[in-house]
Amino acid sequence: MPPDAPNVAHRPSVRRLYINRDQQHKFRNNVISTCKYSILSFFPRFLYEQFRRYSNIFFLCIVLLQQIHGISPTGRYTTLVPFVIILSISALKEIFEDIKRRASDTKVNNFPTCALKGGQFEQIKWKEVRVGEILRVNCDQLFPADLLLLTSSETQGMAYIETSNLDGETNLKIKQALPITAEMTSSNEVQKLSGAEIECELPSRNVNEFSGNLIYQEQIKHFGMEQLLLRGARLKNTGWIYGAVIYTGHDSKLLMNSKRAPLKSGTIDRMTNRRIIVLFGVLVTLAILSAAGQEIWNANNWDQAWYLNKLNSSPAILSWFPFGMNAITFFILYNNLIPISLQVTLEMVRFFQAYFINWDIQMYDERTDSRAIARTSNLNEELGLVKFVMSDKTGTLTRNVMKFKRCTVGSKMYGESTGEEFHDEHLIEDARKETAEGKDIRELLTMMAVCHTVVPEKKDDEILYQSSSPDEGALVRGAASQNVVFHTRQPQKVVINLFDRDVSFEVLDVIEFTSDRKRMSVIVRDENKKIKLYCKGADTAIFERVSAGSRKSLDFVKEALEQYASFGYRTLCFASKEIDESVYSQWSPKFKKAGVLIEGRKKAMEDVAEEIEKEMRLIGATAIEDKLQEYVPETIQALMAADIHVWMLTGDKRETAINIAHSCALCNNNTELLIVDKATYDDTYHKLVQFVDRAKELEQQQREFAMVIDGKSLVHALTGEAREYFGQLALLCRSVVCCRMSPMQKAEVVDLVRKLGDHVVLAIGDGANDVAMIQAANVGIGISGEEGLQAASASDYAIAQFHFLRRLLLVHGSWDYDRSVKVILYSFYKNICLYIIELWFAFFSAWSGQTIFERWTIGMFNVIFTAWPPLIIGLFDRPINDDQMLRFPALYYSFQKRAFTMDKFAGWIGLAIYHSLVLYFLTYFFLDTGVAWSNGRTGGWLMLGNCTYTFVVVTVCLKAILETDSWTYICGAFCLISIVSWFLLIWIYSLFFPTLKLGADMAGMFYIMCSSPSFWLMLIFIPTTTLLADLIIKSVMVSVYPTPREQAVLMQKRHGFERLTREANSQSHKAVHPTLEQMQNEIRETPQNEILSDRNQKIINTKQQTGASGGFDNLAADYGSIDNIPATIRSQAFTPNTSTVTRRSREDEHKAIPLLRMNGQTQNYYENPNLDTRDENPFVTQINIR
Amino acid sequence: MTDEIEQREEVPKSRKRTGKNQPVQDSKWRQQKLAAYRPVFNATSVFPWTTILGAIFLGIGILLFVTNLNAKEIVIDYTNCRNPNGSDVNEFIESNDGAFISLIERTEHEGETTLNCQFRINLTEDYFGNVKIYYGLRNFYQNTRGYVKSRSDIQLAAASPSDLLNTGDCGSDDSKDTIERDGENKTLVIAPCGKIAFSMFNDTFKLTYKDIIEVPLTTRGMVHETDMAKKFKNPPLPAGSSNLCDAFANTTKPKSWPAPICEIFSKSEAGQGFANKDFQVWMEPAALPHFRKIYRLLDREADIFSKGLPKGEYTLTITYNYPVEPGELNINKTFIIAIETWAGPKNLFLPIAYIIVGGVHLFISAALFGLYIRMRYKSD
Repeated sequence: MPPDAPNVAHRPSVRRLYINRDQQHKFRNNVISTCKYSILSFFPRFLYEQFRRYSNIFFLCIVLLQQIHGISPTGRYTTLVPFVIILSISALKEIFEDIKRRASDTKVNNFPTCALKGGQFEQIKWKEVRVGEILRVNCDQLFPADLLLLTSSETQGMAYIETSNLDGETNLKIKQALPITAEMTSSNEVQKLSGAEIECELPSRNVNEFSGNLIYQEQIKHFGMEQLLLRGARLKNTGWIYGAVIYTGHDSKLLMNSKRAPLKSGTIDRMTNRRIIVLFGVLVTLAILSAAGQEIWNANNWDQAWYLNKLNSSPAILSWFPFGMNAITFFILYNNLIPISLQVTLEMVRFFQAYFINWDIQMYDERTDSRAIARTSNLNEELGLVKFVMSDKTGTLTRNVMKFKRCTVGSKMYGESTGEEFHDEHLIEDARKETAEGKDIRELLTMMAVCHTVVPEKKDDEILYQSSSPDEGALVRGAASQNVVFHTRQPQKVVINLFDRDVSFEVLDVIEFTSDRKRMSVIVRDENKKIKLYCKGADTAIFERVSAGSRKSLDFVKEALEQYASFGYRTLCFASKEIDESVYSQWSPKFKKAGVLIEGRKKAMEDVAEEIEKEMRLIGATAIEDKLQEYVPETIQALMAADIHVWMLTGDKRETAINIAHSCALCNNNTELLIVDKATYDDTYHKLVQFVDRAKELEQQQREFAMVIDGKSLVHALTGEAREYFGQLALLCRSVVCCRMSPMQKAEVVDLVRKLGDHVVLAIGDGANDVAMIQAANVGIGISGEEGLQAASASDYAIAQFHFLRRLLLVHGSWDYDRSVKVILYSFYKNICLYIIELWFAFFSAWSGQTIFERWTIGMFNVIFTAWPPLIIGLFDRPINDDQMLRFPALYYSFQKRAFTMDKFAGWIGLAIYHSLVLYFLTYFFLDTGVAWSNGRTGGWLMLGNCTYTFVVVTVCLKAILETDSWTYICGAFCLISIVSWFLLIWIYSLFFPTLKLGADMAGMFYIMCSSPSFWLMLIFIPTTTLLADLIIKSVMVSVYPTPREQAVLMQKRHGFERLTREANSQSHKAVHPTLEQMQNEIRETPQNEILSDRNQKIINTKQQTGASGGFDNLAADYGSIDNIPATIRSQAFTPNTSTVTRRSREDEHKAIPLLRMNGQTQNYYENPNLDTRDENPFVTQINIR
Repeated sequence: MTDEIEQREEVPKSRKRTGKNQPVQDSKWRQQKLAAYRPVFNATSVFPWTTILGAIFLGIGILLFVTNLNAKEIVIDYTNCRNPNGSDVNEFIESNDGAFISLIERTEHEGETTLNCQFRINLTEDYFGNVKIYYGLRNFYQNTRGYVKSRSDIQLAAASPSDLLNTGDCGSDDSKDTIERDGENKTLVIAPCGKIAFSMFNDTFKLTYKDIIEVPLTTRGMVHETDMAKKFKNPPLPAGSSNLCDAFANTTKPKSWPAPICEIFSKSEAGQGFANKDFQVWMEPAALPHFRKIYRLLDREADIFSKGLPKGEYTLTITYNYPVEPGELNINKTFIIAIETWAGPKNLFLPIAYIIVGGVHLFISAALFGLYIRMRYKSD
């Protein structure tokens, strides 16, 4: 072993393998399985997962208690059967999903590939691939395992790969074989490698770094990511490659990275669980009280009720501890108060709600041909609860389509801020001059064309640049537009066409970009054999490392950078340096040695790089424009109008960040910026304390303000006592800009805000640097955009465009939240409504625990007769039309208030109890004597039970319709189906006995019940009477205290029936928001009166004054609800440009009135040349303070 | 590379789902655009409905009320025909409420005491139609859990001799009895088993018109024949036997019964054994602690009663067998003569409920209308 070789032998953390030979260690095979279950593990694992839920444990207990002989009032299996049905539905869903996974695994495992077997390549399946084997992979094929690139069909063993499956990047990446193996281009030659040894890292998730050594013929050759072909990547533009298998199956980087993030649980689930626990307490109390009731009844009346004698003595166990046993009997009797089917109903509802998100054509992006993907379904309603949106900037708010826009070099600035592309003829003119400046310009353009890792791809005379960093691509394209064309990259060589003359550079070293270094360098030997260091990077990183001689240009560049930043450009500084041959030959081995290290390589390389990247000469700076995504300001305004705090978290510098914040309407010219940029803890602390006071002051004055904080201050703001003040400030500010953030800081901020209170935090981002933040947030949204799919893969929901967030939150979020809450409340309601009747009946059945209903019908209530209404509500109810939802973002906030409070819950429960009382006692008096026929017959026990049950089913189904906000034929049909199914099933059930020895109690009961005319009279009477209270409460509340939601509906109702055609098929973004003409038509249709026309005039005035081309969008919105706005508010609210108030009251929902604000200031982005001008108006409908 | 094409299609993991692979469909279902009506419940929209409903309810209520006037019933509480003081009365005395005159007599027959009560009933109007005779019990808990389940439906529908021995949920104490038979102690299954059967109502009623003519009563149509025939079946007779008691040979009588089931109803026209209609009526436990059960129907085939019961004096003779213990529970026994209408027995609950709720609806309509006017006035 050569002495300088890194001694990896006695490190245990090394994988050692031999090419094409038996291995000393056993490695995993290449079979992959992404299944959750195997046939054997299914039952234990599935049951384990199910019984982690409290409710399932509860029902299991009930099932077990029912098995105690003689204790259950409902027989042994009446809970078991529905419980098994419900578990089976869950199991089927799991099996279905697992089968899909298994099928895809099998398909993948059986893919063919070619392996070297005895000197010949033979076709084998992926699953047969073993570590150490040499494989041949052809063009456009996937790599079956992580391979060491040995050689390829191209010169010097080059290979292009596409890694879109791994990181979503579609650009080609270049890989190159080690020189010693690169020439082995036939199977015979490559056979010679047999027995060569490979040492490398143990399998890890890290896809950006890799280090290993190939030991062949006593030589140790280091290899890294350059030579590693990852499983899942695809070979492109290369005929074939040979590769040695290093990691197989689950050891491969792809599978190491495919672990799913832990499941997030929704707020609503936690609340539901709390409610269930409360109900459980009630249940236990009721059981004990009922058992006590029995004791008392027995003590008083036992002697007289001679016919009941010795009733309780029969099963031995009952005499053992009679009170406890009776309590258990009642516990079983009342157990259904806890809705057994709630979990599964919610699961199904969410499952299909997620499909609605996936299917939404208005969240489909034609350009990238991608649509929204709900990757989890249990957070749908969380989307309706969002209080904070934490947004990444690059790629999320901006397009991440970089354009080289301006540059500064040699005390001159080139380029304009207008126009699409860089355009300045002076640059080339000046470049051709043989002055110092001209030289500098040529140097800058050369650096732009050389200092990068871009791969050119020639296609029909055109050169496409494949770059992993959009900035580099923009620079190379920018240089090309100035006649400095980079056209050929070979492993050690770069050829550019400099003003029509090919110049080649020998690339000696590339010092890679890392987020710590914030710069990258290449060391090249130019035509004149001079060694040069080209370095580009962030201003902070470069300025520290330029020589004292550059001071003059430094000041100028700084000035230019400030100007660029004010346009929101991304800036890069360029510096170069000539290196003496002797210095380089001293430095180079150190760098190589650092590069071979398996552990601590990164740090070592940074240190070595630091030695050479110093005393550079500052050449100039470039500005790259990153355009805003479509509809970003509108979306942000809509979110803010929905009372959501919007935060922008970015790694950019403060000026850029603030500027982008302005252009995307996070703040405007009147917004007071509270800038925290202190370097020490004490300063930061004092600043925060000061700002908290200032913010409160501004809040009182109803002025807008925003916080701007940078990464350095944030470190302090997140520690110690400052944290508290930071939290306060964060809650006060409508918008916050955090700049110079590292990915981990983003996650920390998200975490902090989550902990500030019970707020739902949504994080949205598109890049790998947002993954931590996305996973830390309550809801993570990934944008499947330019920067790859890492963010999307880690997210809960993936969308293609930032502005889809508006629809996702305002429409899907609000709807799903409202629906799910309704499903939950309704499930509680219907269970209590039916089963509390058992308690009322206990008063009349000597507290004996006798059921009023037939035992099987009790269990089937949730599973069959009322299973549909909650599902239908959960899937098809539309609380408010989507276009209205989008037009009045303030509704989003009012929906949050409306939903799942304790009051609301108590209201529903109270109503359920009231309903059950009415239902029971009306039936009771109706069947007072037990005779309901003209023929003198009697119905007995079940006549009462079945009648009550029928009335409950009808009432509960009608209640579902009453609670549905939009009546579709489905909702009517399924309520009818539910009611009919009850009649149908008892009809069938009453025919069972004695053919089946089952249901003797029920025999003939259907005919008995239906043959009574008064039963049918009661069927009309009782449910209607029961629901009368609901109707009155609803109509009085809506008339006297309409909620914003109801106002919006009322506004729509002005036109009579809902107009359905207008909104249908409106795929384009614009059509959702009525155009000017539509708006005016709407006005014409609206009954006019003086106030209206007066106000109409005012709004037109407003429009003229603000000069905004939009404005009518909100007009009709406001218009419709004019009746509901007291005149006093009216006069204030529509004075043009009254104020810039964006504060909203947290007052009672009923008092909040959706109101238009024509706010001239917030529309400043129209003047911003960087933004598209369009006819749309931002959604500034807001709730005013009253 | 035979499978190249297939391989290109399938990409393991994190696939970008695109519109091409699964096109977004613009259907009303998928886009949540189903045609819908959006109801608003406010004063304006609700008061027409409450008015209509109120009118309908009121109408039905009045109709029912009128109908109910045709229903008749007379209820005689005979619980205390055995004098509260415990002494017998050998002459007619006035009942507590003064409505009836009762006579109580105790006769001894073959060592057993029989208590008879007689009531003078004066029908002040004709009871024309299908007259029914009921017995009623108040504060009698047929609906307690142990009681309701203490029966064996399989035994009662004895399709086979083995079914007869099925004791279902009767409970160990109420299923078997040890008796002396053929000189040895045998433990036999009780038929019918269970508390419901044990506590069967056994008072009998006889009604005479003008002290001379016994009012003919029948059991025809007393129960739902088809249903009851399925639920209550006597066990099959052993081959060659015509005596029902042979079918019940392996069973014994309930302790509280004077005779086995095959004998006890043998003289009754209501049917023998399990097929006995009185037995069937009793075996259908009532839902509430006060209930009535049919005793007999008026047999209108006799000339004089073809229309029903004419008004006049009747004498009711009750054989008082069913024990009622005095105590807080206040168990009541009643005898009822009734005529129902299509809407059921004389019970004003239904019509009155309809009328009240109808009225409430109308009241609410008025209130909502007032609210509507006020809101309108205010908004103008």
